[in-house]
Amino acid sequence: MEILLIDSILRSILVGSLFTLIGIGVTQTVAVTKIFNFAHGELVTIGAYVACLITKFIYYPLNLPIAIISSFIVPALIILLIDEVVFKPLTRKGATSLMLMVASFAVSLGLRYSLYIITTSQRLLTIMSEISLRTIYTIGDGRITNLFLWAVPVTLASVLLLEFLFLSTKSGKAMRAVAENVSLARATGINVDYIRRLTWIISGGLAGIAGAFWSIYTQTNPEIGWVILLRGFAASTVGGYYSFFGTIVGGYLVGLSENLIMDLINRFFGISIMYKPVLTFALMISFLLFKPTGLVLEDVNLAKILKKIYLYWGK
Amino acid sequence: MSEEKKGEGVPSRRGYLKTVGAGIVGLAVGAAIGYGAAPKAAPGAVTTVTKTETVTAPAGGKTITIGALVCTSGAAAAFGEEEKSAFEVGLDHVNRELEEAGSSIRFEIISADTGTTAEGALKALTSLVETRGIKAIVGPGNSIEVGGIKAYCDANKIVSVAMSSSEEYSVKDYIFRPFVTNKLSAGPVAKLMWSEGKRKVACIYRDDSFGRSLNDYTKKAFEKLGGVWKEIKYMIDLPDYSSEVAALSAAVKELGADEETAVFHVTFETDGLNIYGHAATDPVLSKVKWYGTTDAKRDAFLPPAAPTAIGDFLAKVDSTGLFPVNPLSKINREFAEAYRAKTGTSPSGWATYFYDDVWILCLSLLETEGKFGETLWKIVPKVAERYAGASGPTPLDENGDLAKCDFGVWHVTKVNNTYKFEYSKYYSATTGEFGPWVPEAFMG
Repeated sequence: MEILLIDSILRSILVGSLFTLIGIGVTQTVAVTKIFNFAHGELVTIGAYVACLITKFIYYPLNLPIAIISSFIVPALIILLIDEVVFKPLTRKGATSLMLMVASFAVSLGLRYSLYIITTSQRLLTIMSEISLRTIYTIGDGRITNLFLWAVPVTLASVLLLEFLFLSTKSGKAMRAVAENVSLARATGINVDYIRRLTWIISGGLAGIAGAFWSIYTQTNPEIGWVILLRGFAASTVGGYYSFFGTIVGGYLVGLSENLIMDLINRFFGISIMYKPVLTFALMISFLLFKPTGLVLEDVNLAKILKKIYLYWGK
Repeated sequence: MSEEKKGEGVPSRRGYLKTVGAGIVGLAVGAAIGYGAAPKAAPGAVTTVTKTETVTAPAGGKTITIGALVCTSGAAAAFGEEEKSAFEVGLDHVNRELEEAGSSIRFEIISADTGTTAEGALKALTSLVETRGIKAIVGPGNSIEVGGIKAYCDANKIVSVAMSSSEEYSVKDYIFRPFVTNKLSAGPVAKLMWSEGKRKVACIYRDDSFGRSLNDYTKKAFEKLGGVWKEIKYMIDLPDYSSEVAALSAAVKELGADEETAVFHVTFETDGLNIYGHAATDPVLSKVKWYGTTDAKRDAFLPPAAPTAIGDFLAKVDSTGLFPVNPLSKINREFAEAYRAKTGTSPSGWATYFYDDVWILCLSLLETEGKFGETLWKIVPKVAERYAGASGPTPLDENGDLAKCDFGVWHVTKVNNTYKFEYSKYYSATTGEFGPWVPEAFMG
C-alpha cells in the first residue's frame, strides 16, 4: 500500500505537539512535586469537555481563543484543589512517591467516574467540538488543517514561555531549585508552597490546552485523557521525567513513531498500522532500560537558538 | 536542572527513576495486554450494582430476581443507558401484566455495570451470582462482554438472554441471542453494495470479534459475487485514528476511487466519530460512497449531536447501511411510548431487543415456575419460538441465535439543514430480495 508521506509527517508534528503539551506537565509535576500524577489524563479530559462546551455557545472568531483560555483555567483550578485536599496533606504526612502515585490513581478514578455521572446526566457522554477540522492548505498529499495552524504555534509559544520562565524569572529559578532539592530550597528561603502551586497551575493548564486541541482533533468522552496519558508519560520518559527539552523531543518522537515510522513499517514490512501503540511502549522501555535519566538537554536555550536562526536568516 | 545527586540514605535519581519507571512500564504493559484482551477501556475494575426499583409481590406471593449486565461506563456507556432503560420498561410491563392477571409472582432486576469490557462483564456477573444469588440474566449487549461471561455461564448453568453479533459465540451454550448476528447481516450488505454497482470495496474495521467476523462474512459474500475487497483493521480504544484513515484513503486511491469503489466501515460510536472527523477532510474518501453496519445508524453521528462537518460528510458520501426492522405492532408502539415517558427520548431499534430479552426470560421463568439452570435453558428456545414482541418474532436456531431477520436500507439525507437517517428499501429474509420501503408498515 502506498504511503502519504507529507500527510504522515504533518500528522506526526500535530499529534507530537499535543503529546508535548501533556508530557511537559507530567515532567514538571514529577520534577517539582515528585508525584507521578495519573490524574493528569483526566485534566486533559476536563480541558476537552470545557472546550467543547465553550464552542457550543461562543462562535467564530472568539470561540477557539476563549476555549483555549478556559481549558487552561478550569483544569488548573481543579488540580490546585486536588493538591490542597489530597497531595499536600499526604506529602506532609511523609507519604512516599509510590503512595502519592497510588493516591493519584484514586484521584484519577474519582474524576473519571464524576465525569461519567455528570456527562451521562447531561447527555454529553460523547461530544465533539463545534469547531471541525478544515483543510486550509494542501502540500502534496498532506493537508494543513485549522487545528494544525493553532496547535503547533501554541505549543511552540508555550515552550518558549516556559523556557523564559525557567531561565529568566525568579519563580522559574526557584522551581528548578525545588526540583533539585526541596529541603535545600526551603532553607534558602524559597516559598515551596508557592512554587508547588505554580507548578500545578502550569501542568494542569497545559494538559487542559492539550485537551482543547484534542477535542477538535477527535471526539471527547470520559476515557480520552486516560488513553492519551500513556503518550504523555512516554514523552516524559524520554526527558527522564526531569528534562524539559528532553520531553519536547519525546513528544515529537512519540508523534513520529505512531505516524511516520509506523506508516513506513507498514509500507515496507507489511505490518498493520494497528500495532502503532507498540512503538510508544518500545520507546518508553528502551529509554528506561538504556537511558533512564532520559535525554538531558539542560543547556538548550531555545530562544537563543531561534534568535541565531533569525539573525542568520536576516543576513 | 543538573544530574543526579547521591548521598547516604538518599536513593539516586537513577534508582528512583528506575523504580517508578518500572511501575509505569508495568502499568503500560498491563494496559497493552488490556487492549488485546479487553478491547474497550473501562475506568477500572469497579463493579456498580444497582437494584432498579423495589418490587413487592402480593402477600404469599413470590418475587423472582434476575440480573442485568449493562455497560453504563466505558466506551459504550451511552448505549448502556439505553439498555438499562429498556430492561426497566420491559420489567414494568411484565409485572403490570402479572398484576392484571391476578398473579402473585413478580420479577425484579438487579443490574451491574460491565464497564464495556470482558473482564468487567465477568466481574459484574460473578458479583451478581455470588452476592445476590442471581441465576439468570438479561444482557450483556455486545460481543466483547459476551466473550467475558460465556465460559462462566456454561460452567455454572447461568442462562443469559443477550445481544451480540459475533459468530464465534454462535455455539450451543447458555447464551441465547435473539438478535441479528453478523452471519445474518453480511450477505444482505454485500448484496446491497453489488446491486448498487459497487465492485471494489475498501473495508475499515475494528479488530475485535465483532469487527473481524463481520468483515470476514461480508468479504466472503462480496467476493463470491465477483467483487474485490481490501481491508484495514484497527486496534480499538486508540485515542486517534488519523493514520488508519490515511491508510484507508491510500487503499481507496489504489482501487481507483471511482463509481465502482466504496468504503465499508465497521465502527462503533467513539471510533466512528473519530474516523468520520478525519475522513471529512480527505478529498479521496469524500469521493466514494460509504456503507456501514447496523452501528452506523446512530443519532450521535448526525447534527445536532455531531458537528455539521460530519453530517455534511455523511450526506455527501451517501452513507448507507442496513438496520433490523420490525413490522409495526401494538407492542412496539406501547414500548416506544413507555420508553419515551421514562427517558424523554425515543428508543432506537436496539432498545426493542433489550425489551424483548426481559420478556423472553421472564416468560420462560414463569413456565419453569422459577426453576433455573438446565430446566430454564431447555425452555427458553421454546418460548422464543412462540414469542413475538417489540422486535417482532424471535425464532432461534439450533445454537440459540436469531434464525432470521428483515432489514431496512437506510441512508443519510440532508434536507433544509436537517440531517436524517431515511429508509429507502426493505430486505426480506424470506425472499432474499430488496423491495420498496413502506413507512406505514415498519418500525426501524
